[in-house]
Amino acid sequence: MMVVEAILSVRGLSKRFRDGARDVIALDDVHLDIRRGETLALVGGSGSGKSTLARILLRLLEPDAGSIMFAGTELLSLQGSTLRKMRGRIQMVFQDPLAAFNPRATVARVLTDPLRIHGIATRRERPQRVVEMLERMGLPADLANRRIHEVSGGQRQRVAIARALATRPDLVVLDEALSALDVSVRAEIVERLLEQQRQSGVAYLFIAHDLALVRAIADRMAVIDAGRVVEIRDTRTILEHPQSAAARALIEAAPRLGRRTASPECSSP
Amino acid sequence: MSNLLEIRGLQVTYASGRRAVDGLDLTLSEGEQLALIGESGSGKSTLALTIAGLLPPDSDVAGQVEWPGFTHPPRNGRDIGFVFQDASASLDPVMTIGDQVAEVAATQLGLSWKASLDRAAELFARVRLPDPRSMLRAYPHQLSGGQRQRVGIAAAIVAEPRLLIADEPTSALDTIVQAEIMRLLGDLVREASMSLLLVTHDIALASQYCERIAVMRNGRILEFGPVSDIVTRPADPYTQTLIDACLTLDEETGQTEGTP
Repeated sequence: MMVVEAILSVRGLSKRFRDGARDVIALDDVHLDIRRGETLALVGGSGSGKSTLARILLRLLEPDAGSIMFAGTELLSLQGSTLRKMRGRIQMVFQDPLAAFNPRATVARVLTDPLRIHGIATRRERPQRVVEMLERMGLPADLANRRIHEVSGGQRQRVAIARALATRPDLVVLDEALSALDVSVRAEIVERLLEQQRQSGVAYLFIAHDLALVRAIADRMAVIDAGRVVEIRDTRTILEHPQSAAARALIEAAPRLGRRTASPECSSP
Repeated sequence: MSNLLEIRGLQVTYASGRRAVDGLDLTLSEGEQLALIGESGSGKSTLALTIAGLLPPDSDVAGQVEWPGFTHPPRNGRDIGFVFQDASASLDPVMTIGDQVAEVAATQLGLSWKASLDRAAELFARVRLPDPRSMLRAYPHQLSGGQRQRVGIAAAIVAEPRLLIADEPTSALDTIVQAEIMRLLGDLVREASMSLLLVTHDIALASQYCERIAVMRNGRILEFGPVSDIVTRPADPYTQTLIDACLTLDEETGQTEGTP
């Protein structure tokens, strides 16, 4: 059996929030590994702790306890310039790219920023790099001159993914990144993401509640419920033989084409 | 079954000059559950707003919208209930949810304030909010997204409308809550013999909860028929691409996505 090195190892991660007089446990002793070049889906209902975990991985939020080893370095001990340097290697794509961008910026500006900040390309090389980034996500080169608020939601999310991939990261966290998009746009972006993964070996942490989408993209999945990882195995195995109540509830709730649940009479073709 | 609504040759043009609905025919029967599906920009939300009479006043509407099921032109809020995608945006953040739903009851049904509050509590029970009486005093921010959408549904059915329009009522919610809300909508419309117009981009969701599907693109209806026909024998290639792009858990669609 081949042992694949983990790019990210989370051990004993815990986080509580105070809500008035109540203590809310957002993460409760979470352990998980993400292997190089794989897609791990993190699946759970609203309030299960998925986004808290994502924010902690990006160091946007500090945990109460635990360890995050990323490419052999303790992520939680990094500060200042070493942390900034590491940020290029873990990127994030949010659900709503409009909220993540300066709305007045052009697409070219959005894509040039990471090249400049992380010193990836010289000033002269940058326009050509922007065109390549657009093409890799199936976008036309002339999109570069448009303002970010003028392009469609699907195009904007592809720009966000292109930006996240610009620094050649080892890991991209996609937090409900495809949830707000039309189904046909989703399918196209899934293909592009998988293509980029084949070429560059980037790993994805794909946070979602939609199991059909998870099935299309993820090698393995972790089911999170009330802040605990209750099940983590390959996607197909969980979908076919869910062990946890949380996984069974998610599978039960997934919409199925042509299978009426409301009234049984008109399902036969 | 008799028709509640008949639309012929409808054109809707916004003040910006954009024509969102472009020559559209549609009928809706009494008590039926119809899904309007399409992608962003297909015109499905504009059509829903037109039916509810909620278009901006400077929009240009041509064609016929007739209501054989009514003796008077139906009024939104009274004869037509509308459930919006984002319940948080349609609720007042500084008013209790009890007062908000009671206000609709007082306005639409002319009830006293006390009777309006009783009506609100009754509706909270119907939409299966926990502890409906004490819920009257809750503010929107104290509720989960699914609970807020239940309040939105309660407000929409205060006056027992004959038609309930739900525009992407669950797309902001997670899968489990989505299934609960869709079951609730289905139960409510069946119990009260309401018609349901479900606007969604999700053909799988539409096929599960509706009897007929109308597929919209570029302001027109491409295809209109029973769910089983549309899903198993789509006549229009665009419908086929929507089905192919639809990611589901079922075995036969396997692989990364539906396209061969």
